[in-house]
Amino acid sequence: MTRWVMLADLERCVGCQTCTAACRHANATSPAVQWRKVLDIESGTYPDVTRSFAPVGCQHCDEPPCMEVCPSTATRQRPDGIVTIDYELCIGCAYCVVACPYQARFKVDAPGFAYGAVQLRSESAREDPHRLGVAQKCTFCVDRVDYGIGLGITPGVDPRATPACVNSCIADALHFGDLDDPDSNVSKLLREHRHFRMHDGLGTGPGFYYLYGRADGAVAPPQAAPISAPGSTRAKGVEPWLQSSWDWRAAANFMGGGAGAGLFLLAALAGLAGIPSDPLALVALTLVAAGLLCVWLEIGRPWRFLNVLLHPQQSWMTRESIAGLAFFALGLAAVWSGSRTMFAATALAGLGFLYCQARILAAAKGIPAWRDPRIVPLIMTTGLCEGAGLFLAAAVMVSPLEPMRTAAAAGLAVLAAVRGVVWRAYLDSLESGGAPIRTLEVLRAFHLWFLLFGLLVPIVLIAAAFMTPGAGAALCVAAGSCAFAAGWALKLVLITRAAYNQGFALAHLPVRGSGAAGPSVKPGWAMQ
Amino acid sequence: MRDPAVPPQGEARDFTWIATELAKRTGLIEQYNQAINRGAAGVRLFGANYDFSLDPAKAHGVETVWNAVCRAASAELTDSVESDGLEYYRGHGFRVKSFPRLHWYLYPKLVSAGLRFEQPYQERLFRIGKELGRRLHEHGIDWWDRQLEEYEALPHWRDLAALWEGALARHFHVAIEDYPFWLITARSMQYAWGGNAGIPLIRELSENVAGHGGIVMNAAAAARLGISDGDLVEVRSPLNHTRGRAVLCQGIRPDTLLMIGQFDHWATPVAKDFDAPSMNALMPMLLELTDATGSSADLVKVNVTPLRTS
Repeated sequence: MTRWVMLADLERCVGCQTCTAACRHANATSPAVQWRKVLDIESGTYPDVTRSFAPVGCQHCDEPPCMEVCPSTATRQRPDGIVTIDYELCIGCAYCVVACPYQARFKVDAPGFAYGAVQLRSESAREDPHRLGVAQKCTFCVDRVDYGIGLGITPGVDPRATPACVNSCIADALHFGDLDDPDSNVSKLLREHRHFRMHDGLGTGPGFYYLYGRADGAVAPPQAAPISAPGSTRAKGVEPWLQSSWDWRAAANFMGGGAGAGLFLLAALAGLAGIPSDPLALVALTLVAAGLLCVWLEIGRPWRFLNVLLHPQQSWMTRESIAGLAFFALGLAAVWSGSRTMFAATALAGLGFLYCQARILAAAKGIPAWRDPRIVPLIMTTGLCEGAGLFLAAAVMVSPLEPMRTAAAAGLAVLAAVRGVVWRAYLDSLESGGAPIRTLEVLRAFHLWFLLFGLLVPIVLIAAAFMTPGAGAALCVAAGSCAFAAGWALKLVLITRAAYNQGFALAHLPVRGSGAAGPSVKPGWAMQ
Repeated sequence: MRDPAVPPQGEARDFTWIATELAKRTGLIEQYNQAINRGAAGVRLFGANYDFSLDPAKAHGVETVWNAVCRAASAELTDSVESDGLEYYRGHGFRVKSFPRLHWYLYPKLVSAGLRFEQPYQERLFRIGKELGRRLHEHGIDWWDRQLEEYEALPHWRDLAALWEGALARHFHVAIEDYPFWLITARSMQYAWGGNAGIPLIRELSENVAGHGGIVMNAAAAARLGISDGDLVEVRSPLNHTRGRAVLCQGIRPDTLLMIGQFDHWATPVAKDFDAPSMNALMPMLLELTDATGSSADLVKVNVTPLRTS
């Protein structure tokens, strides 16, 4: 077997960015789209300061999170480990972008040119419209690799078969070769050097190794604490930054999806209790549809949307789409037929849809605030809570639902309490497990507001409604609205404000001179 | 190889065309051609057994100039066996010749020429200084006397800080304590050649390396002045002032500021829009601070004021 990997020798890299330029030229990427780049990391406190340079890009992982989440199967992995993207299949949902903990993927929606609006002929000649609106990333210069194999020459040894970045490296810091060949250049280098892989704890199995010292050299004591405190690192471009691939339109999908699924469940329960709730069911279906419409408006290749159904084996986005189709088909049939069984089946499909949405976030390994497993119960409970809030408001304003008001109010109070507990557990998990500092800042700032309007106010209003029957209706509407709005605010915050990505980290600082390798560096992170 | 991948864009012209045109219009065509013949384009156009020299009296086209250069290069590399011109290089890209790795270094040449290492005691410098001083004084020139003191066989330590501070205080009548920072500059790997400044890709790459486009400052020193990373600050020397964004880091002395590159005088596309701070405008030209080579250090004392937060 063959496993192509890349090595970056942190002792040798001088940060010249020649590999960045070579990659930009070789692959004709748009301005600022750097499949390969070199990080400039400063760590320590004056006068004890270290400056390190670390090439980064797609790590061609053994277990690529981008491939797992891809709903269209556009992202695939070759037997030799190279992770590829089929531009014709990709729908441009950018799920892979947020799933990649190495920030290696890009999506370009419009052509960009070096000199602004003017397109040079060289740019025109190499323009690839297939790359617009879809995901793109480092290919390990797979065309060169395959070309070389076809010629019988060795990738990583013969420049004709070697990635452009490696060829261009002025410091002999980048290497490419076959990990499965014990005599290959990379295997020898790995035997001779200490090495690590970035974010190894995430279980992605990167095909990119960082050398940081000779195998027989000194190394920092294992207890050395990571350097991550603000001010002790120059962290621009290294520490986590707010993802911008999923904006309010993606958030709207989670907002409409959760509230719609929750509302339909309660509408179905009302139906089982013999209370007609067709209008509410239609509202629920509309909410989910509106959410999906919003996210459809966000994807880069909207008319390929059916490709979203191609990866049910692994992608929660595909599963969400299938659950969504079932939800709409069953829901419309339920409303048309009035069948309680159909209503119940639709409610189950809705719950499945909601669960898939929660798992979509949990599978996004690139966003620490999303990948925490406690996000699943949080998204589930808030969806139900939002639905219950809407239902309670409806139970006040729509007379046929009047008999459900007390039960709905009590149910909302319980759901709000459960959501509060789940939220606390989620936040505690992030605090204790480590998360980007800015993520925690955003969530901490949101915490009190969420507890106030998502928990305390609804419960107080519901209690007041029970005690003051005269004002009960208004209080119930306010309680429901509050619980509902808090849930939507939570999702908007989670998707658009707290979604800082993984950033970059070095498990060891490289050896400098005859010294020992340094401790790890993880800028912008709060760690226990 | 004078084989453009794309036709010239807009008003762009081959640099040789521009240089020839300038020579022609300024009446320097003969000297210009002679300079090319002597090797100004990288290769001398004549040797022991070949001569591809240009006619000094007339202006030559780009192709003619580079064809001659290529033929001379071929002859030089093949001991006059070959004389392939521009077309050969367009087709082959380059021509190589064996060159022992040992000759990359100066040492074998020193040995073969019987030269000795003269550092650190450079009596040659001392001798030249004395000779230069006598010639200058013969012509009544004494304003270079201070610089002549630097022609030393073994340089003395000098308090450069005091030299700079004293000169600035005297010339600008300022209290030097009001300028507590040293402002320095540095070359950039990405902008290693001036021509790079017009290439947008180079600017993009340089932004991956901290300090480009801003004023690098020690984080603790910045904190004392209430300056955060990215804040707009004004840097003022006794001569002038400029402004830019603070780039905070630990790896710089607390009393030092750094402005990478000097792009404020560039008038060409891309570089003229850099809007990056430069120390050019802050640097006085003082004979007192001019060394024996006629140069000076890129060094000046400044103060920093935060203008507003980012």
